[in-house]
Order: sequence, then structure tokens, then C-alpha cells
Amino acid sequence: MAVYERRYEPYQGPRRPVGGRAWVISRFAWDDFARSRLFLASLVAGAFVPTLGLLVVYLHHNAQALDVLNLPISELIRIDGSFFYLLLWPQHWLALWMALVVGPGLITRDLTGVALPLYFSRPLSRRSYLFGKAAALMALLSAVTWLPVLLVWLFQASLGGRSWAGDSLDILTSIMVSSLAWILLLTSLSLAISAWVRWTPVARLFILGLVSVPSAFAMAVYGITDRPWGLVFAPMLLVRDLRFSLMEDSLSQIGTAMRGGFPSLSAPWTLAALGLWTALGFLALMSRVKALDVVR
Amino acid sequence: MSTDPRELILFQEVSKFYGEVLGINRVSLSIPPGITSLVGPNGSGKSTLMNLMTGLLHPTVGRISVRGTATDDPERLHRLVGYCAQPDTFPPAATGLSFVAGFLEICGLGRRAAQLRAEETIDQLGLSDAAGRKVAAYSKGMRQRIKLARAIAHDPPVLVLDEPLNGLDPMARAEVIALFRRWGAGGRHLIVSSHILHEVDLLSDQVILMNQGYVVAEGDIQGVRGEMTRHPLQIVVRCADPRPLAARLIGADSVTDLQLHADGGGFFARTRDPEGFYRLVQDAVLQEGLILETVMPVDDDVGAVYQYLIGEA
Amino acid sequence: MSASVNPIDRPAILSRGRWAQLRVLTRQELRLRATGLWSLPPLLLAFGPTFLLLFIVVVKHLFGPGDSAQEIVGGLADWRQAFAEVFHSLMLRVCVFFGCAAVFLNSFRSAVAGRYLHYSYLSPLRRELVVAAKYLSGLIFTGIAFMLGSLTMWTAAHLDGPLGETLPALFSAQGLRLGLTYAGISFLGCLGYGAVFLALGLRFKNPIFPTLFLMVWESINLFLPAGLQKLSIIHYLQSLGPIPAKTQLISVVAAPTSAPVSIIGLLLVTMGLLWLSMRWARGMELDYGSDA
Repeated sequence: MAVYERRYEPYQGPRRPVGGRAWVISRFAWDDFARSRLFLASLVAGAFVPTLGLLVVYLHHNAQALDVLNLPISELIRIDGSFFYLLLWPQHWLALWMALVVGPGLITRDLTGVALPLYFSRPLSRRSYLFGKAAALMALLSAVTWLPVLLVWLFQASLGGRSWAGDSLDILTSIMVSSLAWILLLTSLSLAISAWVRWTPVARLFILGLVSVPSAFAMAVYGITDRPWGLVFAPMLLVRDLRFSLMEDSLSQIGTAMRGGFPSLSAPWTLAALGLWTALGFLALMSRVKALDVVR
Repeated sequence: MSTDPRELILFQEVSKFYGEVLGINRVSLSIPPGITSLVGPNGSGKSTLMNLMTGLLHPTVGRISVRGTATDDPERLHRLVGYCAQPDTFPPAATGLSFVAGFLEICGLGRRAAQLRAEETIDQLGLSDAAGRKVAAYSKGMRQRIKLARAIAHDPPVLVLDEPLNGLDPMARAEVIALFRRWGAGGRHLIVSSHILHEVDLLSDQVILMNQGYVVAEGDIQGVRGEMTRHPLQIVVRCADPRPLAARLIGADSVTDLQLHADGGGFFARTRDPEGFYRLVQDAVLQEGLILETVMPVDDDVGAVYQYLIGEA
Repeated sequence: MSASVNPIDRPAILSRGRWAQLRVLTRQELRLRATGLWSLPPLLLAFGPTFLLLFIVVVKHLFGPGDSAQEIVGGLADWRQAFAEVFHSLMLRVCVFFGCAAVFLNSFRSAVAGRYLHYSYLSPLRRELVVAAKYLSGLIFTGIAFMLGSLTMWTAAHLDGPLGETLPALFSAQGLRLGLTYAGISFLGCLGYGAVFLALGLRFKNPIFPTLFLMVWESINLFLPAGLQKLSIIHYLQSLGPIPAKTQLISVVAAPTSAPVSIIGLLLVTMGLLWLSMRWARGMELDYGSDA
């Protein structure tokens, strides 16, 4: 018989720097996303419109292919602001869908599993934890919004030449600014709701409500007063406005028609209102995520 | 033993599958009144059996009746059954008192009567001071006791308790066991699942041993042990001069093994026929005038049975 | 922990009727709904349109006469028209819809997610009563909230202009009848949507996607052929509106169904859905492991 005495020995190996620990949270969040078939299907679906966009741009610049196909694509579709608006618009909807699919579970699971005290007991700060979660969602939303559309813009710029790129900087600005504003907003609202509402399906309902109910109020204000100030309460319409207004000069008739007669706020007002919504979301998030929840 | 179905809990060829996962398989049981313990490792099917018994799950195959009442008739069933289930969760904002009194009102008591009855039950479980506080702020042991209070508040003839001793401190545990004993007397059913084998031993009139969804043994523990002929019963005998007795016993067919203690004051014997063994010992004592200090089986408790039937499985 | 529990008077337990049980359960459910933060979003939705109208009235008065803001809306007839538009496009389509979703989807799902539904299922009552109590409590909560919301909204629509003219119009027989009719439509909305969302919450572990589908279906209702339009709750609710909506496309019903048919239709749909929910609740197994 033998007795093997076991003693505690602290871990001696290399440690991840404090600043990099948030990425562990992001990596695990991504692993969680990847387990959902709905998520994977949505991600694949998200590549459809940009791929179509790449194809159209390619055909535009390939006379041989146009001859073979015998399609007057250059006449049917112009590569201008309206074209990029049509690419960006479904991608922004897809981002909302993705936020609905993966957003609510991000913090809810840690709350229901009472994991926060474990996270915050030693290895992580509250900010690193939240940054890790936000980064995971922002990376995902970037992958379906500005990244693929930017790719199409760069492809067109490479084929269309410097002059086209120079003339179309407003399109690039619209793609980037409206997408980043939308991503920040969705991230802050999704995480805040995920932290406040412990049940994933209900959290999804809240996200859905928060983007659609204020839009209906804004429409009602416009219906009664014929004025756009109600937009301040409707983040989804604000982003729509931003997409349009930043590439206004490059819009063809189709784009102008899509915008409709609905009045808009100026870009600074729109950005300020969106910033306020985003800040409110992050404030709500910070006030909820704590190591301990005392019940009296 | 009564065979009247109105006095028994009956499982007839019951199987429960969760999709392709086996919960329990082909379980047939006839549980008489008294304290019955369900024993088995995690995932053996104890909770499934209890959930089936209380109608929270429906059997995939087979029939269950509790004192003559089908488990798909909750209105009648839960007048008979009190169940302290495993989840440690409660309706939001419930206080201990509202949790128990609300249930009693549904059972049929008026608001005032329900309040009084709830206070009385909570008091009997030693929670009076905390009755007005939110259950969410209770300790684990307190939550366990308030669940128990709700289960017994309507005085059901059948009480089903899933791991009721979890989280209780030693004092509370002893008091709850005493409560169970009183409850189990007088023709009531008390079904308890527990991992704490020596407490099961103290408590139970009969045990049901489960493993991997199957019932591996049932009955009173000595009876079960007696049936396990593959594992001879170990008996310790202590007396001043054990050698003559040992010499008489070693020649008997029923004794398979005998080992003298190092101090010379007794021996271990293994036997497949305990009754024959005791008869032999009795004869030797009468004929040779031996004075015995101890004759005691050492592996006829739940722990040993568990080890033989499940630990070696 | 000393003496054993004294035997209860068992005949008293057996004598409780189902109506009494339903009353007790509904009261308990109502208390759960009315307390805590959960009650806030439906209440905000119920009274949001009132605040909106009040806000517009206040802004209009603050700008004073002669300002272009004074022309936001004209006289009482315009305000009533504006009320009808906002009621149909905002109150019914958005506020009642989401308010009922928040209340009724949660009825079963939150109890399963919070792992406390088994306490109801371990009580000596028919499971149908649990469904009925959850539905009734939700209906009382949303019904009162949205009826009051509609009435205050109707009142707010009369606060603009000279009160000497608008208040008598509000309290005239016609004014009261119109106000109560709109409150009744809101109640019918809660009745119908409540039954739909209760069934969805009971049937689906993740009811948000069917809810999303329903939202889209109800939104595109007006663009559908007449036959398909009738397969929605909003069609019958819109048909009941006494002030015809003119300006907003979303408020126009091409072929409205008559009021008696609409009401009977809604009641029948509600009863059908409740019957389904009761069946599902009866066959429901509580296995929290897969619902967490």
C-alpha cells in the first residue's frame, strides 16, 4: 500500500496579461454563438447580398462577360449611392436579427448561472468582462454590416479607378458611420437588456420592442404634426436617416424614392440622438452588472 | 401486507424515455405505507420516478396509481400527495408565509384559515421568525424547510421528498428525520430519496435501489440483503474463548469463511444462510455454555447493499 | 420543530369548488403581475399614446398663436381624426400588440424559466384552471390598462382648443359613446392577442420567432387579399373603429367586417385558442433541464 501525499502548488506557468483577458470572454462568447445552428445559418445568409454585389461590380467591369451573358447590366444597375444603399439596408436588418439571436444570451446566462461572482472574484474587472462581451457582439455585427459592404466598395474602387473612389467617399462615410452607429447601438441595447432581463426569450421581445415601438411613435408624431422631431425616440429610423443623409449626393432616383417623403433630422442631431440612446444603454448595463446581488 | 390498491403506490411496467435517453425502464413496484427510501447514484432515475409518481411527468409506457388515483388526475392526486421537489426556486417576491398560505387557499381553506394553518406549519419547521421575509433571501436550509412546510401543510397521506435533507445543518437534520418518523407512522406513505446512506438506514422501513433507470432491489433492507446470495453475510462474533465455537461452525455447510481476530477475542464469519448460522451458534451456546459478548452482522445495511449492487455493477 | 403537524380538516379541502379555486389563483397571478418591474412596460405602452397627444397639445400651446406650430392640427374634428389615426396605427398595432406579448408570453414561459411552475402543477386543481387563471389575470391587467389608456387618450384629444367647446363634446352622449367604443376595441384587442400569446408562450420554448412572424403578418395585413386579411386579429379590430381613418394607409381597411361578426369572430378565435392552450397545458411535462 502506498500513500501519495498531494499538496497544493500554485500555478507557475505564463499568465495572460491583464489587458488581454477580455478576449477570453470574447472567444468563449463566439464559441457559444457557433453552437447555434440558427446563428450559423444567419451568418451564411448574410453573405448572400454582398456576394451578389461583388458579382454585379465584376460584371460591370468585365466587357467579355457582359458580351457572353448578353445583359445590359451597366444600363440596368448603376454603381452609385443607391446601389450601396441597397446593399447596406438588408445587412443592417440582418444585424438586428443577429442581435436578436445571440445578444440576449450574452449576459443572461452568466446571471442565471450565478457566474458573475466567479468572474469578478479574481481574474477579471467589470470593465474587461463587459468589454469582452461587447467586443464579441461588435465583431459579429461588423462581419455582417460594414465589412462585406466595404469589401464591395473597395472592389469597385479598384476596378473603377481613383476618380470613382474620390467621388464616392461620401458612400464610404455612410457605410462606415451608419454601420458603426447601428452596431454600437445594438450592442449597448442588447447587452443592457440581456443584463436586466434574465430570460432569453423575453429579452428578445424587449430588443424587438425597443427598436419597433419607438418607430411607431415617431411615425405617429409625424402623422399628426408633419414634423420629424419624433425621430429622436426611434433609433432604427435614426440609423435609416443617417444612411441616407450621409450619401445624399450620390443617390440616384431609386435611392431618393426609397427614402420617401419622410422628413429627417440633420446628421449632427441624428448622431447626437443615437449617441444618447447608446450611452443610456451602456449606463443601464453598468448599473446592473455587479459581482453580488443582495436580496432583502 | 395489504394488496388493496387504495393503500398502495403501484407502478405497472412503467418506462419513461426523454427522446432517446432512458429515464426509467420497465419498473414495476408496489409500495406499501411506511417510509420508503429511494437510493441510487446521480442519474439513476430517482427523480424521474418521483416526478412520475406526482404527475409532473407522464410515463411513456405503463400505468401508475397512487392510493387508487391515476397520476393524470391532478385535482384528486394532489389532495393525496405533498411533494417537495428538487428545484430550489420560488415564485418571485413570495414570502415564506404567502408561499404556504397561497397553496392552502388553493387547497380549499379560507384566507384566514389558510394563514393560520400556514403559520402553524411554518412554526413546526422552526421558521416562524423568517415567515414574513422573501424566500429569495432565505439560506439553503431555510428554503428546504419552507418547501417541506408547503408539502406537508395540507396533511397529505402521501409525502414525496426529493433529497429533503440537502442543505440542512445537523440539528435541523435530526429534527426533520424525527418529523419524518412521526409522519411515516399511522398508515401514511413517505417516499424519500437521499444520498446519505446512514440516514436512509435510520429512517426507512423499506428501500428501493435504483441504477441506470432500473430498480435493482426493493424491500426491507434485511430481506434484500438476505436475497443477495452472491455476497455471503459477514457476522462478527466476540466471546472470551472463540476457538471451540469457531471449530463447530467451520464444519457447517452454511459457513463459507471464518477468520479469527488477531486479539483472540472473536472471529468474522461469512455465511449464505444467516438463520442456519444463528441456529448453530445458539446450539453451541446451549450445549457448551459459552458466554457471547456480541453476535452482529456487519454488512446488512443500505451502505453495504448499495456497494454490492451498485458499486460493483 | 416539535410536534407533528396536526391533521387538517380534510372535508374542508375537498369542498372547495373550481370557481373558488379560479378566483384564488387569479388573485395570486394578478398580484404577481402587478408587482415588480414587469408591470412597467405594458403600462408605458398603454399610456404612451396619451402622453404623446398631451405632449403635442402642450407644445402647440407653448408656441402660441400665429406660429406655424399652431397649424399642426386644426379643430376638434381634426383632433378626433388624429386620435383615430393614432389609435389604429399606434395603440392597436403596436401598443396593444407588444403589451399583450409582454404580459401573456410570459405567463407560462417565465414560470418555466424561473423553475416555479411545478408549484401550480402540484396543487389539487385541474391544469385547465391554471391556464384560465393566467389568462384571466393577464386580461384583467392589460384590459384595464389599455381601456384606461384609450379613454385618457380620447380625453387628451379633446384638450386642444377652447375647452368650453371641446369638453361638452367629450361628455356628450356621442363623445362618451365613441370613447367607450375605443376602450372596448382595446379590450377586444387584449382578449384576442392575449389568447394568441398565451398559446405561443405555452407551445414554444422560444416564442419570439413566432411572435416576429405574427408581427410581420399583422403589419402586412392591409396589403393582403381580402380573404387572407380576415385571418388576423387586427383586421377585426380595425373594422370596429367608428371614426373612419383617411390619411394613413396603415389605418385603412378595404372591406371591413361588420361589428357583430368581428366581435363574435374574435370571441370564437379566443375560445378556440384557450381550448388549445388548455389541452397543451394538460399534456405538458415539467422537465426544467431542457428549459433553462
